[in-house]
Amino acid sequence: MSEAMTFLVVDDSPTMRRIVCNALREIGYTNVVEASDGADALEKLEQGSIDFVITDWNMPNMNGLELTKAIRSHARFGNLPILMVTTRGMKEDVIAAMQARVNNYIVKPFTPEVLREKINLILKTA
Amino acid sequence: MTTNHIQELLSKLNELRAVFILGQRAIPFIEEVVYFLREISPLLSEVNDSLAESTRKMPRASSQLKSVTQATEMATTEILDLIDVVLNDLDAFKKSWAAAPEALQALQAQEEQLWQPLPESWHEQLQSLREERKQHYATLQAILESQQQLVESLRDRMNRIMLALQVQDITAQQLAAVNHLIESVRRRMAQLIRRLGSEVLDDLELSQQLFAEGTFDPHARYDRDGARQKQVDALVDALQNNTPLPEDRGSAEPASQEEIDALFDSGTPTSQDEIDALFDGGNTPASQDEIDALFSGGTPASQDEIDALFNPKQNDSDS
Repeated sequence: MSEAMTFLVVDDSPTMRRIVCNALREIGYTNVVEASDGADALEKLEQGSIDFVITDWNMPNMNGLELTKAIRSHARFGNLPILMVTTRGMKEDVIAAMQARVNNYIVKPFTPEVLREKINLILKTA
Repeated sequence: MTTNHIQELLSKLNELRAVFILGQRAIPFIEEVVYFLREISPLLSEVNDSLAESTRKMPRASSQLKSVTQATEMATTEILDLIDVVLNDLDAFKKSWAAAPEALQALQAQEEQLWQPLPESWHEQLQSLREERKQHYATLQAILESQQQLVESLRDRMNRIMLALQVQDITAQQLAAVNHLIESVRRRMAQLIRRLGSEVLDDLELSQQLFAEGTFDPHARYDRDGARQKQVDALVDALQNNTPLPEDRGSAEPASQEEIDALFDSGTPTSQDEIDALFDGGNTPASQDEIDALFSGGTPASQDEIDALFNPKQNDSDS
Protein backbone atom coordinates (compact mmCIF):
# COMPACT_ATOMS: atom_id res chain seq x y z
CA MET A 1 0.00 0.00 0.00
CA SER A 2 1.31 3.42 -0.91
CA GLU A 3 0.30 6.90 -1.88
CA ALA A 4 -0.55 5.50 -5.31
CA MET A 5 -3.48 3.63 -3.82
CA THR A 6 -7.02 4.49 -4.91
CA PHE A 7 -9.59 5.70 -2.43
CA LEU A 8 -13.36 5.46 -2.83
CA VAL A 9 -15.08 8.35 -1.07
CA VAL A 10 -18.78 7.69 -0.46
CA ASP A 11 -21.01 10.53 0.70
CA ASP A 12 -24.35 11.90 -0.49
CA SER A 13 -23.19 15.44 0.20
CA PRO A 14 -21.11 16.80 -2.72
CA THR A 15 -19.60 19.29 -0.27
CA MET A 16 -18.37 16.52 2.00
CA ARG A 17 -17.02 14.51 -0.91
CA ARG A 18 -14.98 17.49 -2.06
CA ILE A 19 -13.73 18.14 1.46
CA VAL A 20 -12.68 14.54 2.03
CA CYS A 21 -11.04 14.34 -1.43
CA ASN A 22 -9.17 17.54 -0.78
CA ALA A 23 -8.04 16.36 2.64
CA LEU A 24 -6.80 13.14 1.03
CA ARG A 25 -4.90 15.12 -1.58
CA GLU A 26 -3.32 17.23 1.12
CA ILE A 27 -2.01 14.16 2.89
CA GLY A 28 -0.68 12.77 -0.34
CA TYR A 29 -3.38 10.52 -1.81
CA THR A 30 -4.38 11.83 -5.20
CA ASN A 31 -6.22 8.86 -6.71
CA VAL A 32 -9.78 9.26 -5.57
CA VAL A 33 -13.06 7.89 -6.91
CA GLU A 34 -16.36 9.34 -5.67
CA ALA A 35 -19.75 7.75 -5.04
CA SER A 36 -22.97 9.41 -3.86
CA ASP A 37 -24.42 6.47 -1.90
CA GLY A 38 -23.87 2.83 -1.03
CA ALA A 39 -25.41 1.47 -4.22
CA ASP A 40 -23.26 3.78 -6.35
CA ALA A 41 -20.23 2.74 -4.31
CA LEU A 42 -20.83 -0.94 -5.02
CA GLU A 43 -20.97 -0.16 -8.74
CA LYS A 44 -17.69 1.75 -8.52
CA LEU A 45 -16.14 -1.11 -6.62
CA GLU A 46 -17.17 -3.51 -9.37
CA GLN A 47 -15.78 -1.19 -12.05
CA GLY A 48 -12.33 -0.40 -10.78
CA SER A 49 -9.57 -1.37 -8.45
CA ILE A 50 -10.27 0.37 -5.17
CA ASP A 51 -7.81 0.01 -2.31
CA PHE A 52 -9.56 1.89 0.48
CA VAL A 53 -13.15 2.92 1.21
CA ILE A 54 -14.12 6.04 3.16
CA THR A 55 -17.85 6.13 3.71
CA ASP A 56 -20.51 8.29 5.33
CA TRP A 57 -23.33 6.61 7.25
CA ASN A 58 -26.56 8.48 6.44
CA MET A 59 -27.22 8.21 2.73
CA PRO A 60 -30.18 7.42 0.48
CA ASN A 61 -30.61 4.07 -1.32
CA MET A 62 -27.96 2.25 0.69
CA ASN A 63 -26.41 3.69 3.83
CA GLY A 64 -22.83 3.31 4.99
CA LEU A 65 -23.60 0.50 7.40
CA GLU A 66 -25.37 -1.51 4.69
CA LEU A 67 -22.52 -0.77 2.32
CA THR A 68 -20.01 -2.05 4.88
CA LYS A 69 -21.98 -5.26 5.31
CA ALA A 70 -22.29 -5.66 1.53
CA ILE A 71 -18.54 -5.18 1.09
CA ARG A 72 -17.68 -7.59 3.90
CA SER A 73 -19.89 -10.28 2.42
CA HIS A 74 -18.39 -9.85 -1.05
CA ALA A 75 -15.95 -12.47 -2.25
CA ARG A 76 -13.62 -10.15 -4.16
CA PHE A 77 -13.40 -7.03 -2.03
CA GLY A 78 -14.51 -8.38 1.33
CA ASN A 79 -11.22 -7.43 2.98
CA LEU A 80 -11.01 -3.82 1.82
CA PRO A 81 -10.13 -1.31 4.52
CA ILE A 82 -13.22 0.72 5.44
CA LEU A 83 -13.18 3.99 7.35
CA MET A 84 -16.53 5.38 8.49
CA VAL A 85 -16.68 9.20 8.51
CA THR A 86 -20.00 10.33 9.91
CA THR A 87 -21.81 12.80 12.14
CA ARG A 88 -23.13 9.88 14.18
CA GLY A 89 -21.19 9.68 17.39
CA MET A 90 -23.51 7.77 19.70
CA LYS A 91 -22.15 4.73 21.47
CA GLU A 92 -24.62 2.38 19.79
CA ASP A 93 -23.67 3.76 16.36
CA VAL A 94 -20.00 3.06 16.91
CA ILE A 95 -20.79 -0.42 18.22
CA ALA A 96 -23.03 -1.15 15.22
CA ALA A 97 -20.36 0.06 12.82
CA MET A 98 -17.66 -2.00 14.50
CA GLN A 99 -19.93 -5.03 14.49
CA ALA A 100 -20.39 -4.48 10.76
CA ARG A 101 -16.57 -4.59 10.67
CA VAL A 102 -15.51 -1.11 9.70
CA ASN A 103 -11.80 -0.71 10.38
CA ASN A 104 -12.08 2.62 12.11
CA TYR A 105 -14.45 5.46 12.79
CA ILE A 106 -14.23 9.25 12.48
CA VAL A 107 -16.82 11.73 13.74
CA LYS A 108 -17.48 14.81 11.61
CA PRO A 109 -16.22 17.47 11.65
CA PHE A 110 -12.84 15.82 11.17
CA THR A 111 -9.38 17.28 10.88
CA PRO A 112 -6.77 16.17 8.32
CA GLU A 113 -4.59 15.04 11.22
CA VAL A 114 -7.25 12.61 12.41
CA LEU A 115 -7.88 11.42 8.85
CA ARG A 116 -4.18 10.80 8.31
CA GLU A 117 -3.84 9.07 11.69
CA LYS A 118 -6.76 6.70 11.04
CA ILE A 119 -5.66 5.86 7.51
CA ASN A 120 -2.13 5.12 8.70
CA LEU A 121 -3.45 3.04 11.57
CA ILE A 122 -5.65 0.99 9.26
CA LEU A 123 -2.88 0.49 6.73
CA LYS A 124 -0.45 -0.52 9.47
CA THR A 125 -2.76 -3.20 10.81
CA ALA A 126 -4.17 -4.31 7.44
CA MET B 1 -98.66 -13.06 46.37
CA THR B 2 -97.07 -13.49 49.76
CA THR B 3 -96.04 -10.83 52.25
CA ASN B 4 -92.45 -11.45 51.33
CA HIS B 5 -93.19 -10.70 47.72
CA ILE B 6 -94.93 -7.47 48.66
CA GLN B 7 -91.99 -6.49 50.89
CA GLU B 8 -89.58 -7.15 48.09
CA LEU B 9 -91.71 -5.14 45.65
CA LEU B 10 -91.84 -2.23 48.08
CA SER B 11 -88.11 -2.40 48.57
CA LYS B 12 -87.54 -2.27 44.81
CA LEU B 13 -89.96 0.62 44.49
CA ASN B 14 -88.07 2.46 47.19
CA GLU B 15 -84.81 1.89 45.40
CA LEU B 16 -86.37 3.14 42.18
CA ARG B 17 -87.60 6.24 43.95
CA ALA B 18 -84.12 6.81 45.34
CA VAL B 19 -82.70 6.63 41.85
CA PHE B 20 -85.21 9.20 40.63
CA ILE B 21 -84.45 11.56 43.47
CA LEU B 22 -80.72 11.13 42.92
CA GLY B 23 -81.24 11.93 39.27
CA GLN B 24 -83.18 15.02 40.24
CA ARG B 25 -80.28 16.17 42.40
CA ALA B 26 -77.81 15.50 39.62
CA ILE B 27 -79.78 17.55 37.12
CA PRO B 28 -78.13 20.93 38.02
CA PHE B 29 -74.69 19.45 37.44
CA ILE B 30 -75.72 17.97 34.12
CA GLU B 31 -77.24 21.30 33.22
CA GLU B 32 -73.93 23.00 33.92
CA VAL B 33 -72.09 20.47 31.79
CA VAL B 34 -74.45 21.14 28.91
CA TYR B 35 -74.01 24.90 29.27
CA PHE B 36 -70.26 24.39 29.38
CA LEU B 37 -70.33 22.31 26.22
CA ARG B 38 -72.45 24.91 24.45
CA GLU B 39 -69.95 27.59 25.41
CA ILE B 40 -66.89 25.61 24.56
CA SER B 41 -68.18 24.44 21.20
CA PRO B 42 -67.32 27.64 19.26
CA LEU B 43 -64.00 27.75 21.09
CA LEU B 44 -63.19 24.22 19.97
CA SER B 45 -64.23 25.16 16.49
CA GLU B 46 -61.81 28.09 16.64
CA VAL B 47 -59.03 25.81 17.88
CA ASN B 48 -59.82 23.47 15.03
CA ASP B 49 -59.58 26.30 12.48
CA SER B 50 -56.35 27.53 14.05
CA LEU B 51 -54.89 24.02 13.95
CA ALA B 52 -55.89 23.70 10.33
CA GLU B 53 -54.30 27.03 9.48
CA SER B 54 -51.06 26.21 11.28
CA THR B 55 -50.98 22.78 9.73
CA ARG B 56 -51.50 24.25 6.29
CA LYS B 57 -48.52 26.56 6.83
CA MET B 58 -46.15 23.80 7.90
CA PRO B 59 -45.27 22.55 4.40
CA ARG B 60 -44.21 26.12 3.58
CA ALA B 61 -41.90 26.13 6.61
CA SER B 62 -40.47 22.79 5.46
CA SER B 63 -39.98 24.12 1.99
CA GLN B 64 -38.21 27.19 3.35
CA LEU B 65 -35.86 25.00 5.35
CA LYS B 66 -35.10 23.07 2.18
CA SER B 67 -34.38 26.37 0.43
CA VAL B 68 -31.99 27.34 3.22
CA THR B 69 -30.17 24.03 2.81
CA GLN B 70 -29.95 24.47 -0.95
CA ALA B 71 -28.75 28.05 -0.60
CA THR B 72 -26.02 27.12 1.87
CA GLU B 73 -24.99 24.22 -0.34
CA MET B 74 -24.70 26.54 -3.33
CA ALA B 75 -22.74 29.09 -1.33
CA THR B 76 -20.49 26.35 0.02
CA THR B 77 -19.87 25.06 -3.48
CA GLU B 78 -18.91 28.57 -4.61
CA ILE B 79 -16.54 28.94 -1.67
CA LEU B 80 -15.03 25.53 -2.42
CA ASP B 81 -14.58 26.53 -6.07
CA LEU B 82 -12.82 29.70 -5.02
CA ILE B 83 -10.64 27.81 -2.57
CA ASP B 84 -9.69 25.43 -5.39
CA VAL B 85 -8.74 28.39 -7.57
CA VAL B 86 -6.65 29.95 -4.80
CA LEU B 87 -4.97 26.62 -4.03
CA ASN B 88 -4.17 26.08 -7.70
CA ASP B 89 -2.77 29.61 -7.96
CA LEU B 90 -0.68 29.05 -4.87
CA ASP B 91 0.59 25.78 -6.30
CA ALA B 92 1.51 27.51 -9.58
CA PHE B 93 3.20 30.32 -7.65
CA LYS B 94 5.08 27.83 -5.51
CA LYS B 95 6.18 25.91 -8.58
CA SER B 96 7.41 29.02 -10.39
CA TRP B 97 9.28 30.18 -7.33
CA ALA B 98 10.78 26.81 -6.59
CA ALA B 99 13.68 27.54 -8.98
CA ALA B 100 14.34 31.01 -7.55
CA PRO B 101 16.65 30.10 -4.61
CA GLU B 102 18.71 27.89 -6.87
CA ALA B 103 18.99 30.65 -9.50
CA LEU B 104 20.10 33.06 -6.81
CA GLN B 105 22.79 30.69 -5.62
CA ALA B 106 23.97 30.20 -9.22
CA LEU B 107 24.15 33.97 -9.62
CA GLN B 108 26.26 34.26 -6.47
CA ALA B 109 28.59 31.50 -7.66
CA GLN B 110 29.00 33.20 -11.03
CA GLU B 111 29.86 36.45 -9.31
CA GLU B 112 32.59 34.69 -7.35
CA GLN B 113 33.94 33.29 -10.61
CA LEU B 114 33.96 36.77 -12.14
CA TRP B 115 35.67 38.20 -9.06
CA GLN B 116 38.69 35.89 -9.20
CA PRO B 117 40.22 37.01 -12.55
CA LEU B 118 39.91 40.70 -11.70
CA PRO B 119 43.26 42.47 -11.00
CA GLU B 120 44.24 42.84 -7.35
CA SER B 121 44.13 46.64 -7.63
CA TRP B 122 40.40 46.40 -8.46
CA HIS B 123 39.63 44.24 -5.49
CA GLU B 124 40.30 47.02 -3.01
CA GLN B 125 38.17 49.48 -4.95
CA LEU B 126 35.29 47.05 -5.46
CA GLN B 127 35.32 45.46 -1.99
CA SER B 128 32.63 47.67 -0.53
CA LEU B 129 30.42 47.13 -3.61
CA ARG B 130 30.98 43.40 -3.31
CA GLU B 131 29.92 43.42 0.35
CA GLU B 132 26.83 45.41 -0.56
CA ARG B 133 25.88 42.92 -3.27
CA LYS B 134 26.37 40.04 -0.84
CA GLN B 135 23.96 41.74 1.53
CA HIS B 136 21.44 42.14 -1.29
CA TYR B 137 21.73 38.44 -2.10
CA ALA B 138 21.16 37.55 1.55
CA THR B 139 18.12 39.81 1.68
CA LEU B 140 16.74 38.22 -1.48
CA GLN B 141 17.34 34.78 -0.01
CA ALA B 142 15.43 35.73 3.15
CA ILE B 143 12.56 37.15 1.07
CA LEU B 144 12.35 33.96 -0.94
CA GLU B 145 12.24 31.86 2.23
CA SER B 146 9.56 34.02 3.84
CA GLN B 147 7.47 33.89 0.67
CA GLN B 148 7.76 30.14 0.66
CA GLN B 149 6.51 30.08 4.25
CA LEU B 150 3.76 32.53 3.35
CA VAL B 151 2.55 30.28 0.53
CA GLU B 152 2.57 27.28 2.87
CA SER B 153 0.67 29.25 5.49
CA LEU B 154 -1.90 30.39 2.92
CA ARG B 155 -2.36 26.83 1.70
CA ASP B 156 -2.85 25.65 5.27
CA ARG B 157 -5.42 28.37 5.96
CA MET B 158 -7.28 27.62 2.75
CA ASN B 159 -7.46 23.99 3.77
CA ARG B 160 -8.71 24.96 7.22
CA ILE B 161 -11.46 27.04 5.60
CA MET B 162 -12.37 24.07 3.45
CA LEU B 163 -12.57 21.79 6.46
CA ALA B 164 -14.68 24.34 8.33
CA LEU B 165 -17.19 24.04 5.50
CA GLN B 166 -18.13 20.66 6.92
CA VAL B 167 -20.50 22.83 8.91
CA GLN B 168 -22.72 22.95 5.80
CA ASP B 169 -23.24 19.18 5.81
CA ILE B 170 -23.83 19.15 9.55
CA THR B 171 -26.33 22.03 9.55
CA ALA B 172 -28.07 20.49 6.55
CA GLN B 173 -28.61 17.36 8.62
CA GLN B 174 -29.82 19.42 11.57
CA LEU B 175 -32.29 21.26 9.32
CA ALA B 176 -33.42 17.95 7.85
CA ALA B 177 -34.08 16.68 11.38
CA VAL B 178 -36.11 19.81 12.21
CA ASN B 179 -37.96 19.38 8.95
CA HIS B 180 -38.72 15.79 9.77
CA LEU B 181 -40.05 16.86 13.15
CA ILE B 182 -42.28 19.52 11.54
CA GLU B 183 -43.51 16.93 9.06
CA SER B 184 -44.32 14.48 11.89
CA VAL B 185 -46.20 17.15 13.84
CA ARG B 186 -48.02 18.23 10.68
CA ARG B 187 -49.08 14.68 9.89
CA ARG B 188 -50.35 14.16 13.42
CA MET B 189 -52.18 17.47 13.41
CA ALA B 190 -53.75 16.62 10.06
CA GLN B 191 -55.01 13.36 11.55
CA LEU B 192 -56.38 15.20 14.55
CA ILE B 193 -58.10 17.78 12.38
CA ARG B 194 -59.60 15.06 10.23
CA ARG B 195 -60.97 13.43 13.37
CA LEU B 196 -62.45 16.76 14.38
CA GLY B 197 -64.37 16.73 11.14
CA SER B 198 -62.74 19.49 9.16
CA GLU B 199 -63.49 19.35 5.45
CA VAL B 200 -60.84 21.70 4.17
CA LEU B 201 -57.68 19.68 4.66
CA ASP B 202 -57.71 17.28 1.77
CA ASP B 203 -54.51 18.79 0.39
CA LEU B 204 -52.63 18.01 3.58
CA GLU B 205 -52.00 14.47 2.48
CA LEU B 206 -50.15 15.74 -0.56
CA SER B 207 -47.08 17.05 1.23
CA GLN B 208 -43.83 16.00 -0.32
CA GLN B 209 -41.03 14.34 1.60
CA LEU B 210 -38.33 16.98 1.40
CA PHE B 211 -35.69 15.06 3.32
CA ALA B 212 -35.78 11.31 2.96
CA GLU B 213 -35.68 9.46 6.24
CA GLY B 214 -32.36 7.84 7.02
CA THR B 215 -30.40 10.42 5.03
CA PHE B 216 -29.69 12.60 8.02
CA ASP B 217 -28.54 12.28 11.58
CA PRO B 218 -30.91 14.01 14.03
CA HIS B 219 -28.05 14.27 16.55
CA ALA B 220 -25.56 15.86 14.14
CA ARG B 221 -23.60 18.70 15.69
CA TYR B 222 -20.64 20.87 14.83
CA ASP B 223 -18.27 20.08 17.64
CA ARG B 224 -14.67 20.99 16.98
CA ASP B 225 -13.09 20.35 20.36
CA GLY B 226 -12.37 16.75 19.46
CA ALA B 227 -14.05 15.38 22.59
CA ARG B 228 -16.48 13.22 20.60
CA GLN B 229 -13.62 11.79 18.53
CA LYS B 230 -11.78 10.90 21.73
CA GLN B 231 -14.86 9.09 23.05
CA VAL B 232 -15.24 7.24 19.76
CA ASP B 233 -11.54 6.34 19.76
CA ALA B 234 -11.84 4.94 23.27
CA LEU B 235 -14.87 2.91 22.22
CA VAL B 236 -13.23 1.63 19.03
CA ASP B 237 -10.14 0.74 21.00
CA ALA B 238 -12.17 -1.17 23.59
CA LEU B 239 -14.13 -3.02 20.91
CA GLN B 240 -11.01 -3.93 18.96
CA ASN B 241 -9.17 -5.15 22.03
CA ASN B 242 -12.11 -6.81 23.76
CA THR B 243 -11.69 -4.67 26.84
CA PRO B 244 -14.60 -3.20 28.88
CA LEU B 245 -16.43 -0.39 27.09
CA PRO B 246 -15.87 3.11 28.48
CA GLU B 247 -18.77 4.46 30.50
CA ASP B 248 -21.31 6.88 29.02
CA ARG B 249 -20.80 10.51 29.84
CA GLY B 250 -24.56 11.03 29.87
CA SER B 251 -25.37 13.67 27.33
CA ALA B 252 -28.83 15.11 26.98
CA GLU B 253 -30.38 13.22 24.11
CA PRO B 254 -32.93 14.81 21.83
CA ALA B 255 -36.24 12.99 21.65
CA SER B 256 -36.33 10.12 19.21
CA GLN B 257 -38.99 9.86 16.52
CA GLU B 258 -40.65 7.05 18.46
CA GLU B 259 -40.88 9.27 21.51
CA ILE B 260 -42.41 12.05 19.44
CA ASP B 261 -44.87 9.62 17.88
CA ALA B 262 -45.78 8.30 21.30
CA LEU B 263 -46.61 11.82 22.43
CA PHE B 264 -49.16 12.11 19.69
CA ASP B 265 -50.56 8.59 19.95
CA SER B 266 -53.62 8.30 22.16
CA GLY B 267 -54.72 4.87 23.33
CA THR B 268 -58.15 4.75 21.77
CA PRO B 269 -58.84 7.39 19.16
CA THR B 270 -62.16 9.12 19.40
CA SER B 271 -64.52 8.12 16.62
CA GLN B 272 -65.92 10.68 14.21
CA ASP B 273 -69.43 9.90 15.45
CA GLU B 274 -68.41 10.70 18.99
CA ILE B 275 -66.91 14.00 17.93
CA ASP B 276 -69.95 14.82 15.80
CA ALA B 277 -72.23 14.05 18.70
CA LEU B 278 -70.24 16.40 20.91
CA PHE B 279 -70.50 19.25 18.45
CA ASP B 280 -73.90 18.65 16.92
CA GLY B 281 -75.95 17.64 19.89
CA GLY B 282 -78.46 15.88 17.66
CA ASN B 283 -80.02 16.91 14.39
CA THR B 284 -82.07 19.75 15.83
CA PRO B 285 -80.23 21.67 18.49
CA ALA B 286 -82.31 22.23 21.62
CA SER B 287 -83.27 25.79 22.41
CA GLN B 288 -82.38 27.29 25.76
CA ASP B 289 -86.05 27.08 26.76
CA GLU B 290 -86.13 23.40 25.90
CA ILE B 291 -83.04 22.77 27.97
CA ASP B 292 -84.45 24.78 30.85
CA ALA B 293 -87.71 22.87 30.62
CA LEU B 294 -85.85 19.60 30.76
CA PHE B 295 -84.13 20.56 33.94
CA SER B 296 -86.90 22.37 35.73
CA GLY B 297 -88.28 19.46 37.71
CA GLY B 298 -90.07 19.69 41.02
CA THR B 299 -88.39 20.62 44.23
CA PRO B 300 -85.13 18.71 44.63
CA ALA B 301 -85.19 16.11 47.38
CA SER B 302 -83.32 16.82 50.59
CA GLN B 303 -80.43 14.62 51.74
CA ASP B 304 -82.65 13.22 54.49
CA GLU B 305 -85.18 12.12 51.93
CA ILE B 306 -82.55 10.36 49.89
CA ASP B 307 -81.06 8.70 52.95
CA ALA B 308 -84.48 7.57 53.99
CA LEU B 309 -85.04 6.01 50.59
CA PHE B 310 -81.95 3.89 50.91
CA ASN B 311 -82.82 2.79 54.45
CA PRO B 312 -86.37 1.50 54.16
CA LYS B 313 -86.09 -0.54 57.36
CA GLN B 314 -85.21 2.55 59.29
CA ASN B 315 -88.25 4.21 57.74
CA ASP B 316 -90.49 1.32 58.72
CA SER B 317 -89.35 1.34 62.31
CA ASP B 318 -89.75 5.13 62.43
CA SER B 319 -93.28 4.90 61.18
